[in-house]
Amino acid sequence: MAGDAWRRFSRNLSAMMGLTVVALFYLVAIFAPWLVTADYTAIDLDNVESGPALEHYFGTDELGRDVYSRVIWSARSAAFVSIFVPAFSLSLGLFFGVLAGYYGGWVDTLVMRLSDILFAFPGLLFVFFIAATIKPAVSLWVKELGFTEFAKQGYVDYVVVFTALALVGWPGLARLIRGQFLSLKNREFVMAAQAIGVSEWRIAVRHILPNAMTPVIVAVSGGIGGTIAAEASLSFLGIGLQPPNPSWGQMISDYYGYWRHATLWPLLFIPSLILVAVILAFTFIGDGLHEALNPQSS
Amino acid sequence: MLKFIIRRVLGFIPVILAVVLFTFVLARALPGGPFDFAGDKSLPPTTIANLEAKYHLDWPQWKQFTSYMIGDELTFFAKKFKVDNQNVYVSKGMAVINGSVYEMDGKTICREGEKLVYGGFKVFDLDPEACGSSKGVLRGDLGPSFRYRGQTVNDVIKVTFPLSLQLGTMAIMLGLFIGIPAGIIAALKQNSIFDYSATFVAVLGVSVPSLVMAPVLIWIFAVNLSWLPAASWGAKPPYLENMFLNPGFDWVNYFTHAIMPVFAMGVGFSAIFARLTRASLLQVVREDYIRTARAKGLKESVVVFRHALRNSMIPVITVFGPLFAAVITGSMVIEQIFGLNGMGKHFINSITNRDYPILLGVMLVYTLILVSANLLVDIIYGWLDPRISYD
Repeated sequence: MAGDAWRRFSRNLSAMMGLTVVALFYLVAIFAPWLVTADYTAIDLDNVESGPALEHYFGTDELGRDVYSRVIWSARSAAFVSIFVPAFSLSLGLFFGVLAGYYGGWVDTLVMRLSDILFAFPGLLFVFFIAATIKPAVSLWVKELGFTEFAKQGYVDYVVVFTALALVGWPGLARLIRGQFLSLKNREFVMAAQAIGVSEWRIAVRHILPNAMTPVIVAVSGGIGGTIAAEASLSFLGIGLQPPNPSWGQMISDYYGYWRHATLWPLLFIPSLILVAVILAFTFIGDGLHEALNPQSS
Repeated sequence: MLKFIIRRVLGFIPVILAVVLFTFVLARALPGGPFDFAGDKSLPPTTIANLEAKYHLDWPQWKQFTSYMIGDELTFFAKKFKVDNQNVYVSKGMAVINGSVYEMDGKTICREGEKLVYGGFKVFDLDPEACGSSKGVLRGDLGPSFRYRGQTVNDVIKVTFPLSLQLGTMAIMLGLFIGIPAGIIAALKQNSIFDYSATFVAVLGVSVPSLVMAPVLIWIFAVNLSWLPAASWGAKPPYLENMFLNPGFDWVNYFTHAIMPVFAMGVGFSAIFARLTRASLLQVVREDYIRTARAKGLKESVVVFRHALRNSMIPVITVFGPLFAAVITGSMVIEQIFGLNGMGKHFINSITNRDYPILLGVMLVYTLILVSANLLVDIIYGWLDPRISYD
């Protein structure tokens, strides 16, 4: 099954290209400290707004910061987003979806009404709002838990952005998983397991869940590009990752005045291009997985 | 059908109430208050206290919420009186006159120097602007804005919503007009060069976020080619009056201003529509009833447009609801980049300004749009596919 899917996936040129770009993206994110040429936060007012050159590959911005290093570190932020947000929303979605789908009854009603309400909030508007609201609470908890260094480095922003995006992401996944459970739980293999006295939780997790995962994998992988775009939009509007945390969205916001500048326009275009390339790569992988796991659909 | 619509509309009530309550509580959990700063300067504490009292921020939360929902006089079970041809509502310890709330000190209703006397005495020195108050959301009054002095939320939404609506509607139209034909062509000529190029452009379309698309468009068409204006909107409010009742309205100017923001927003939608139409049409053409239609010897165009297309629109229509949400979020970035005075911009500002009434008002309007869009989608389902029935 997995072998078949991989064979179909590896024959898909665009999916493999996407996989290559994403692999490169994670490598850059992992090895960011060794790839950068300067501290991206270092301000050098003697050398501001220089175009691309040998000592500063992508030039410097209005504060004299090295744009190349900022782009590289931003890859790490985007990589965190691409891993933690799907992980957070998938865990929430799995928990509530399995609960609702397997147990049904009032648990189901409760979970579904909760997701109805979350669905009624208009998308990113809600993310923005949540991000702004939970930030003080999160930074307080982090400090109370004794992670003062963590808070000082501005890592709280990451927790806030991940939580806000995951809170919006889970209801869709929970519904999908619930739907899968509803259609699978009366199948013969489940009845067989029940008949030989397998415990409820074990049936749900070990018997039904693996069979329910295919559309979930497709949905999660298809959503990663959008999640990265959402983080970029948040940071662009000044609500997501804030300085000193690096983010491509923030760079686009900082540099977008350069579009009319004769030599500095690469400052705007490089982060934009990389952002699009990464989103595109994730979209290709998502499409490739969709086709590989649902061969009858294409 | 009517029964279904009524049931659904009634179902909106708890959902919208939950959204408003949730937003209300969370908004007040934001650190800092709306009056901490005036511009860059911080205000003296007494001024802040006065302003907070004016907008009832010193009241307990539940009282603030009921006052927001149903208005002050109903919150306090006030009795209604006519004094000098004005409606005066009086309850224990307070009075509402002309929509303004006054605290009562014994028999005298007074506040901040304004003297106001009730019962046997005369009412004078009334300043309707003195106290912020509203008739409540349920009676269509979203209250005063905290930061835009002298403006109510209704005023702000009245000005900004039509712009966001024009932008969003045009973007969705563009998405439909490009996306559905592209999807049909791609599906009918599956695995041809048309299919591959349409599919590729569609993937590109979903992958380029508006915060990248908009600057690129501006760079090409405004900066380098100077064909289109880089910012602002081609019409002024009130839009209906200015655009349709004014014979000299400059439509060319309007559309040259609209092209870039609409395109930056709509191209992503067209990509979504194209992908969905293609996938769905490919599935539908394998159905038995299509084989039957072909076996009957119907023309291929009839088979495609009358039999296949209509049914393949179901998934396309399904995304309409969530798409309205995307219109909203898209509009926040687009409005920011093109400097448009739309609702999205005010939402962002209201969060940073802690302007709770604007924040709540915008959230409420968007939620209403979203739930109505979802209802519309369900109604269209029944029309597209007679097998779907709700009764």
